[in-house]
Amino acid sequence: MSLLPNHGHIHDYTVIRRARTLSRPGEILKRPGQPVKPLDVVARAIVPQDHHIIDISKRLHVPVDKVHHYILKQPGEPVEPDEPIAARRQVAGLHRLMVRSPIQGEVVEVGSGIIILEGDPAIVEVKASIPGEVAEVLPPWGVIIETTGARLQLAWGHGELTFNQLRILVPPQEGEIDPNVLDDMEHRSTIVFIPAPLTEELLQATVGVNAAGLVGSSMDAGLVPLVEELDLTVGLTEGFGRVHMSIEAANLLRTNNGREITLDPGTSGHWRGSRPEIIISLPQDDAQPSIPEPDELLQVGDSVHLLRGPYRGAVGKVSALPERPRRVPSGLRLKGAEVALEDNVTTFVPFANLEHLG
Amino acid sequence: MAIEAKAGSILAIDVGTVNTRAVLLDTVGGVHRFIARGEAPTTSGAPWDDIGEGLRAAIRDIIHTTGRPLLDNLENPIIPERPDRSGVDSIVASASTGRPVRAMLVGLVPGVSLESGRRAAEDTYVLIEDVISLADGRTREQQVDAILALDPDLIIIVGGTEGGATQAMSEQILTVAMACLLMVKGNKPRILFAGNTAVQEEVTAQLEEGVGIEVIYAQNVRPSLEREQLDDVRTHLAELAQGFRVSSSSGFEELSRWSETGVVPTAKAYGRLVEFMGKRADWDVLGIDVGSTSTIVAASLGGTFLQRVCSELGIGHGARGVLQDIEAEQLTRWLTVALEDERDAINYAWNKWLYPHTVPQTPDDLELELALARETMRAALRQARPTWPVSLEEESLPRLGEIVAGGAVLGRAPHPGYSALAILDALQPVGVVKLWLDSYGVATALGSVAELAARAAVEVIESGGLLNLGTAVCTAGSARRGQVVLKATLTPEGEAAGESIPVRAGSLVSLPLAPGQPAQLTLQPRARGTGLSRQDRKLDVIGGVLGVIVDARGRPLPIPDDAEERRDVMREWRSAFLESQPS
Repeated sequence: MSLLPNHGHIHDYTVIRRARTLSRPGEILKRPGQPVKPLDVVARAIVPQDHHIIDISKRLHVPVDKVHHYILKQPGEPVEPDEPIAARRQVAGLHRLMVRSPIQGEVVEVGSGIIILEGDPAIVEVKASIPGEVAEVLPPWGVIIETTGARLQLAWGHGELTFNQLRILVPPQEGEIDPNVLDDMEHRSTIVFIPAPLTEELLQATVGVNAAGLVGSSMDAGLVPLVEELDLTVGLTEGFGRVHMSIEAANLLRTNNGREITLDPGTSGHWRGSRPEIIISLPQDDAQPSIPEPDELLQVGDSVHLLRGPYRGAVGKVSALPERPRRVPSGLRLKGAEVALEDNVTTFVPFANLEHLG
Repeated sequence: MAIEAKAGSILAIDVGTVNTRAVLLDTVGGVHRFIARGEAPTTSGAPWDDIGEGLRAAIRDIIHTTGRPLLDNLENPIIPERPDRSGVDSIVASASTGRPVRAMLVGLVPGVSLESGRRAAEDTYVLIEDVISLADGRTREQQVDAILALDPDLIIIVGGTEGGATQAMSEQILTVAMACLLMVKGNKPRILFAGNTAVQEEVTAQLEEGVGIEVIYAQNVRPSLEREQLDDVRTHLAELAQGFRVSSSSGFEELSRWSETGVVPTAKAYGRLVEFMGKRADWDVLGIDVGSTSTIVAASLGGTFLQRVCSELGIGHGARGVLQDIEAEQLTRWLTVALEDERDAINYAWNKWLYPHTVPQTPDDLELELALARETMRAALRQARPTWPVSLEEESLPRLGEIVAGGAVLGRAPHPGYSALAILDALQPVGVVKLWLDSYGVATALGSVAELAARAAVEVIESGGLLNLGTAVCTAGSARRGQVVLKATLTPEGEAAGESIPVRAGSLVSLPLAPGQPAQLTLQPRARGTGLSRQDRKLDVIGGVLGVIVDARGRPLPIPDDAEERRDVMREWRSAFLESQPS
């Protein structure tokens, strides 16, 4: 048994729990047990912005410690554009110096000779993004939503989280998919799935038909700047280069063609960045969903995904766990596993290059 | 406490962003030696969310190798060492992973104290997400909005030299105070003040009394324009970073309790080793550690210690940072093989970013990984060089006495020749320099140990804790390829003088000398501009695993433009090291 660094997930039917949280404290809008739809806002936070610091002491020509005599608005009071916020009568009351609000907003601070006004705050919202039920609330950050369904972890993603219908495009036996088969009527607002490497033409064509997302096996890293400019959510199951999709991942998406799916591009960052994934919520039926086990130790019989080497992208089963390290073609001596692949092929793969599927 | 006196067996642990390493040091015949190392994936992320899993797996790896029990039945470390040699006398720990502290840096003008503040933050893995200065072009209102939008964990205020003007600093403090005043109670950031001490009272009045925030005061990072003092602010930042780690990730608190010195930032421990090596020698030392997320460049130059942590420049999580400034050709120029598609070099680096744990499985992968390591080191040097107090031509290094290089990519290469070649290609030193390779990944541990027991650190280095690759004689200039640039004669101690070997321009030579064997090396320059001084003509050297190296390729490296010719040259250089079996 060994501790593996990489974990991946391909599940046909499992229990999925997802935290949907704000990056700052806010208000929770759902209760435990409440059903949610993907576009429901589950938590909201207010980000104060558009501050205006007005030096009343200077504007009214009065000492800082006398300013409070001339203040017309107190913290918490709303203000309209041009509304007086401080005033001072001069020369026996014949002339009046006036300070007016430059914005519509609220007085948030008065003191030290100044008034701070705040404009309309920005609202940050978190959506449920998957259909399910609120399993837990995490005040003041967000909620945990639980659902049952299929789950496929991706290697890379970019764009906004999207919830739309999955439409598969199958490449011909020989050659590549013709981008012209993408159709504005059929693929508009869908998540297009192509079980093959993505090309620039496919990316452009998908945007051209106003699709919401595109999922493929891999793409050239040189296309990343283009993807970053497109209004399209993109997901890759394997990574960069020309790598074909594992049969397991392709089958999972094929069997769910036409269903509504969540394509979550994840967040990058080495500290708790989230992996991109596809979640397909499925109705509960007689089948018992699998419960993901945080089983981090690799054992004979476990499914693994090969991340490098000649069989990169393949999924196989661990057939043996040799006790001693072995020399691989690069010359490195490494601990690893014997993995049985299709067509009776067995290969030794270093642990570091395996993803434990659970 | 007489720590030095009690130093017996030591377990040094480093929790990196990708791997957790444990190193066991113990006394053998009264001298500290490296005994064993263990490694496991760092388990700070899902599905574990607890560094303890990886930590114990790394320790179990040592137990598996040595048979020595280090953990009790509850999987806690056995401290102190028992008469049956189970357990260890002390543990020291460092970390570069954990929840990063998101910080805002506030100061006066870019380039002086703000630069010092940024460096101190990088050394301690504090992320500077925005900088407010007098020159940033924003109004005070916009700066207040920026602080509120960022919602930082920490605001670092620097600026002003001692005895300098205070008015501008007062303005910056007021901006911070206003922003903090508008923040939700209970969600205000920590404040670290490391500026002109003359405004400390104002900081207290505005921030502590005015807004109710506790301020941590550190020494001014820039007491004068010429002087930088980062030690105190680094210490405070390290304590703050540790506090965030402990509160946000399981296992750190436990590790802090185990360790004699708390959990120090990895960069601090690494830097301490280089500083320590500089102090024990009368020459300059350069340390470079290529990590997954960041690369540390530490230098002891003329008695001054300088360090730069190049965050987002690394061989894994930091690979995208390396790719920002290079094209595919800069990676493929180091390869001996032609790729089917040149773009695959860039794809390789992106995949390494996606899966930083992965290791080269094929020979082509190994070449690409080492090419990425070369470009990572070069990019890190480009960042570090401007901060050094020596005037240098572009891409050059000052004369160094020692280079210590590490990181898994170099330390774990299948032959030390790969690592030596990558180090010489990337750094391109000139003169006579001793090359050390941190092949066991103990450098950080030795830095931690140097604090606890300096003698133990020296003993471990000298007994092979760092791998001596060999002394390298590196010529400058651009002599015509094939021209004899020098003649080298190696005379092992107690033996007759060896044959005088002509070394030709453009070549790389490994002269056989057993590791640890002393010898005299006589050099007779035969060309102008080799960069070797008179003192370099007769040298006392000690053999390394690659004997004695003569790098007569010149500087900058003459890399042919023609792809076929270039690959031939790369093969020739590689075979110079790889065909000599490491002794």
